[in-house]
Amino acid sequence: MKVNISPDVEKRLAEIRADAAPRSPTVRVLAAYANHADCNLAALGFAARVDFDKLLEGTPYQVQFGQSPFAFSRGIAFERMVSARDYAETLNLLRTTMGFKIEDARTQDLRAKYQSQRLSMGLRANETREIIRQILLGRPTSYNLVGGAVLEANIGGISARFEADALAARFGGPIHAGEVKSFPVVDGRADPDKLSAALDQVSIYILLMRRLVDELGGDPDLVSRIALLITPTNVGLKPTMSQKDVGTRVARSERLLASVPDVTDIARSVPSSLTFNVVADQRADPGRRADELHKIADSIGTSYTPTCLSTCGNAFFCRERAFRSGSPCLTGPQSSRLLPGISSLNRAAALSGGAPPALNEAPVAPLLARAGRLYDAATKNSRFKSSSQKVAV
Amino acid sequence: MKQLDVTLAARSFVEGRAIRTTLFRHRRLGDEPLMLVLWQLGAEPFSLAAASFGRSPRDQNFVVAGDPRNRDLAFAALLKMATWFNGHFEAPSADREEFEHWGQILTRSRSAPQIVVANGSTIEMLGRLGRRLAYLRTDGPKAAPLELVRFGRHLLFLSSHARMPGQQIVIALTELVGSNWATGQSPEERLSLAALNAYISPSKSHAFYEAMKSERYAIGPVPSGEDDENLEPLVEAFNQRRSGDVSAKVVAPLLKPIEDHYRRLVGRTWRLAWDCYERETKWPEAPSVGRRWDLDREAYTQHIDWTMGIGRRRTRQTPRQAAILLRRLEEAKATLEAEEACDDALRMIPYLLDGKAIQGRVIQLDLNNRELANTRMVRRPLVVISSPDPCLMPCGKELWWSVNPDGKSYEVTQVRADEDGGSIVTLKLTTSSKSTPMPRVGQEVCFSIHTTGTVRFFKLPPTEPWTHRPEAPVAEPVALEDSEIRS
Amino acid sequence: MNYPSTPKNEFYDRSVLRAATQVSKEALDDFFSSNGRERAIVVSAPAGAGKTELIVDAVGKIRGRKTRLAAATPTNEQAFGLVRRLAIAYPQETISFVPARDIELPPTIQRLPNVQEVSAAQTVGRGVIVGTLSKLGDAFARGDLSSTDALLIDESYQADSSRYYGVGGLAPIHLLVGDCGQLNPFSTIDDPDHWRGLPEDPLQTAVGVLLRNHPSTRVHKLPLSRRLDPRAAKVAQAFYPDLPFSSALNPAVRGMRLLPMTSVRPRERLLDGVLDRAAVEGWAHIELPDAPVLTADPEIVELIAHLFQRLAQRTPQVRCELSTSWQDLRSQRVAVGVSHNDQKDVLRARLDALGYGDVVVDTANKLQGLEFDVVIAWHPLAGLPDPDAFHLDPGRLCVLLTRHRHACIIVGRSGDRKLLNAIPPRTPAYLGWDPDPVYDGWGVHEAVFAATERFRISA
Repeated sequence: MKVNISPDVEKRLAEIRADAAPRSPTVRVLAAYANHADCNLAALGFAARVDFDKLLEGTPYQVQFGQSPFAFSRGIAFERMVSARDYAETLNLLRTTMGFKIEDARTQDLRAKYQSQRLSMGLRANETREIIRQILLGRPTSYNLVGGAVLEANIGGISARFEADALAARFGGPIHAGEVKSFPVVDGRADPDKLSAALDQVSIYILLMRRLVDELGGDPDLVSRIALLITPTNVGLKPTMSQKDVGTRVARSERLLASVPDVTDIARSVPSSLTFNVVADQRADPGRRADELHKIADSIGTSYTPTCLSTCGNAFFCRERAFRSGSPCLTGPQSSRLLPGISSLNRAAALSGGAPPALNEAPVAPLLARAGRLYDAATKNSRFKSSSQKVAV
Repeated sequence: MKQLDVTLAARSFVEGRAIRTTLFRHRRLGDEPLMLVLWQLGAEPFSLAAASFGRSPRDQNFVVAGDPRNRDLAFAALLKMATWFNGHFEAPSADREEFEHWGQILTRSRSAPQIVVANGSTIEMLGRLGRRLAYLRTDGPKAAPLELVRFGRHLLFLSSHARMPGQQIVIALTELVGSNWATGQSPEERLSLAALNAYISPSKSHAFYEAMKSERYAIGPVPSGEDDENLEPLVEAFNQRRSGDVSAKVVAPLLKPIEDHYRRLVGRTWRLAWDCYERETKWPEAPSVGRRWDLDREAYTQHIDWTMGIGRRRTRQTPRQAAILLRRLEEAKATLEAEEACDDALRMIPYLLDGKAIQGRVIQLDLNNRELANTRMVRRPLVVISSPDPCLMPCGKELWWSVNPDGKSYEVTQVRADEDGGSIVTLKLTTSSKSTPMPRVGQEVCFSIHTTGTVRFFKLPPTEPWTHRPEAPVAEPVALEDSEIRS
Repeated sequence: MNYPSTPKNEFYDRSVLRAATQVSKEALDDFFSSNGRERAIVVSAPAGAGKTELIVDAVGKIRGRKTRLAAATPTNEQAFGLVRRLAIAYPQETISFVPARDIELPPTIQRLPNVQEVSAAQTVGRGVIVGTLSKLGDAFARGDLSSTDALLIDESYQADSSRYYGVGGLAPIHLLVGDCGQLNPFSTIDDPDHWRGLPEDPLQTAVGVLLRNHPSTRVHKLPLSRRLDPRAAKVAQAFYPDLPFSSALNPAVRGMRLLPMTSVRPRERLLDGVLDRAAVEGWAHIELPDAPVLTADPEIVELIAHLFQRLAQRTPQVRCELSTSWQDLRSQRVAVGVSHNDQKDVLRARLDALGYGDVVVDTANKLQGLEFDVVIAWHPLAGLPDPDAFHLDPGRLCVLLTRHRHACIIVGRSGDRKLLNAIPPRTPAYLGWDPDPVYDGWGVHEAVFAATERFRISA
């Protein structure tokens, strides 16, 4: 896949990134991006491939998104079990759950095949392409199950490669995408958020596979909307296969990929002096690093909501900005919904004490004043400390 | 999030500390609860890596499994906890009292245990452990100790009872504290007990920074990535040294490094949990708590009797059980909301703001008002209230006096705005009974949609109809411990 | 349409009526071919299809075979309506209504000579028994209500599985009729999704649990609407992706006219533009500028109040297939549909103050199943900063936009559409349950905005 970024855009992006830890768009990064697609700082970081999880290391704002090594090794152990002996367990599940007739299943483990080779993702992408081509041509030697298939995508001008755990194809039938996850399905139930994240991931693979099939001249509908998920069942590591129609998630993924900002546009739109070099410099004074990031944030804008705390490495930083300005977004979108026209929590508190409202505060002011009055009346006879009468305006 | 929440969040932000949202506490908080602090291994949802349990801050029992992925080691640790837990949990059931229920005389335990945990995730973990332990085989080659299976059943009971609105057998401190204090934090941030607690008694000028520091460390049961990174080499060394031996003689001396690792983590949560619990006990108990505690004791008694008797429960509900549970949950929630609002003036405020309640002073009383009902003239007393707030209620709306929510209702018959932005509201009692308590002129009153009167009770047929029975019967999976996670 | 000289049967599109009659016939044949084996038949229909007609028709045929039936609905109001329709359709038949405690039939229905209110125990031997699902289920469980030969359920997509459980054993043969586009059953409990995807889920629809356990159950699809004319059906199709349907009416059968007036002030011109468009096109969508607002947006309340005042000034008249000469539009036939109780409260107070006490103002939940001549729909997304499952629920929008026979005026803000340019927020997923309410709703809302684009007027 060729991507067309001009050399000077590439150079500008490298300048912006400077020595900050880099990060290519993976499925996880893309999913996190979906949570703050309207934040300019997030868009900039995404385009310049800056790893925000590491950017503020060494400052009070550093985050700890690290995964437990036990989680990691559990995942590995489960994947190994599922792919052992030429995917025996997986094939068994495909047979019992999906009705695949697998007497002479042909399997291919691309991870094992290209394990230690340099540029293995690119080689796997080429081979995945060829494998799909063979499937489309209906070759009897085509594969029924491919592990570690790699699909390419153009993400806002950057080429990115995504790795799907499983690609399953019945001879003459639809092609399914699947993921192996180590969270369990217990009594028919899975953690709804983990399940959702896994299905969103598979839906990206389905989308990319459809595009690939289309490119190769095939019918994209050959790629099934039914996502496959292999997880442990109940308490141990015995695998089970679940399936789910993810048609609307695929549509969402399409929208997500389309909304990723074009890196050329980003590079050209930010001030020419903007760079993360000081921010990322671990030898520099943390206060200065923060100030530099404040300058960047001031110039291009941010869009903090509390959900950023679980997906973006700058969240503590942005939260403090919201705190310092008293912005209602600090307490979350549900509460800012109740404060339209109110510029700060300070104003909200003042209005609740009966402060006279400005014109644009007029709809909300009586509600805040009433709430404040009722609270004060109910607590005046108790041993509360209720200092709400005097609030900073 | 409602208007009052956002008002108090704003005030909390300005004042730099939490603001109390209730005048009472709406849960019974006993003197010697069973405090449980649990830690799991990252991404091993059914594992117990370490735990502290006890009935007072100084009564801190502590166990670690070593490597909880090993079934024998995991069960050894769980057994220590189970032995302690079962004794304390079951003891209250020996002391019974009689009570009347729809004409029958039944018995229930005079008291019940209370389990306190830091957060909702701990309750979920109790449920998972219960799920794992309750169905273990107690015979055959891999027989599990009976204590452990009984423990599992108790845990399953706790996990399902925790869903009942207003229940007091399992207290998650984040929910208890969160329901009593408003802070300038988002709902996500309030899930951290440490961050929430930092707002309630901050030592610095603004709680924001203290909360930020507190958020850094995990409260459990899920460890932080960093914690587990520190743990991993300790577990590896431990496994190497014991070379596959799981006997207590060999294992116990090797556990020290792991114990030290967890003692710090568990200890922090332990102290925090007790501080939060004890702080909440200082508030007076709301009047309706007693009634709900009666229901808790009945549920506890039924569970104990079942467990000691037949014992085994299905892993999933039948459609009938699910339908009944749905209605019970709905009723419990509605009753809880009504009771809390009528018990506690601060809890009534959101309903006043939403137009579901009105408050004011009685300016006129007509005890002898009469109207035509069918063919006779009947007495229907009128109450006229002057309220400082506007009233948007339609005529005909049914309300109850907040001091008598299980009594007869009043109907709104007239609403007039007065010159100061308030309203004059006329209410008509819907009965002529002279024994119904009525307000006096000059009294401050509150009328709301909340009623705690007898609830309509819809029965369901005992047998499952063909519509709800699958064509091909699904084999009910009675879960068994299957393949090893590790050995 | 050349009123009044057009013969009555040219008001209807005969091919649409024929197709619908065919489906109804097949459904009832299917129903009567049961031979006593336990079986259910589902008829799914869009808003205004005449589902209750189908039930009334089925009752007649069942009674023709001298068999006994029970007919159930989720709410009391729906049960009242059914009692009335049956009583009028079959004056020789006694319609026995079994009320829940403290519930009574409205006097006008009680007074009908062939209607009787009875206790469950008194239904022995009676041919036509009507009640709510809850009441009949409870009576059946207590042994007060004995089984019947057939069970008919109206609004089956609004009935939940736990209510259906109560009556499932009441008869061996069931006819479930319902509108799959309107609001699904819901609950006030904290985690209603606890059972999602599991077969025991008490909140899945009655049709859902039936199909899950008996996938071979036939679902007959009625491909028409009698309430919605072709202009309305075109937009409403977005709510029924699996149920293509057409209006039973021919174009230009429904008509609304307004007194021409000169409008001087810009606000008046705007209101006239909206009303004129609605009268001609059957739709109008007025957008206030984008702004952060409360749920009970005072500007929208004012706008709706002004619309009423201007509408009244222009003495609206309507005519249709039931009434071919121009009739004054009565205020009881006009409704405002909203999403929230506080929107309803504020609007109610405002309209009452202006003297429009007869106009119905209610939430979508309460308007389900009802019909009006003109509807003003306060768009669920109006003024929202970000959309969520509640506001994106396609059932909510469906109810608001399918109540009207003549015209529907949608009121919102220009930012509403733009909300859908974002990426739908991640939502939890459940095994065994395919709908993704947020994503499904997103698509439906987009389709409706596209379909109403040409009726849009900016304020």
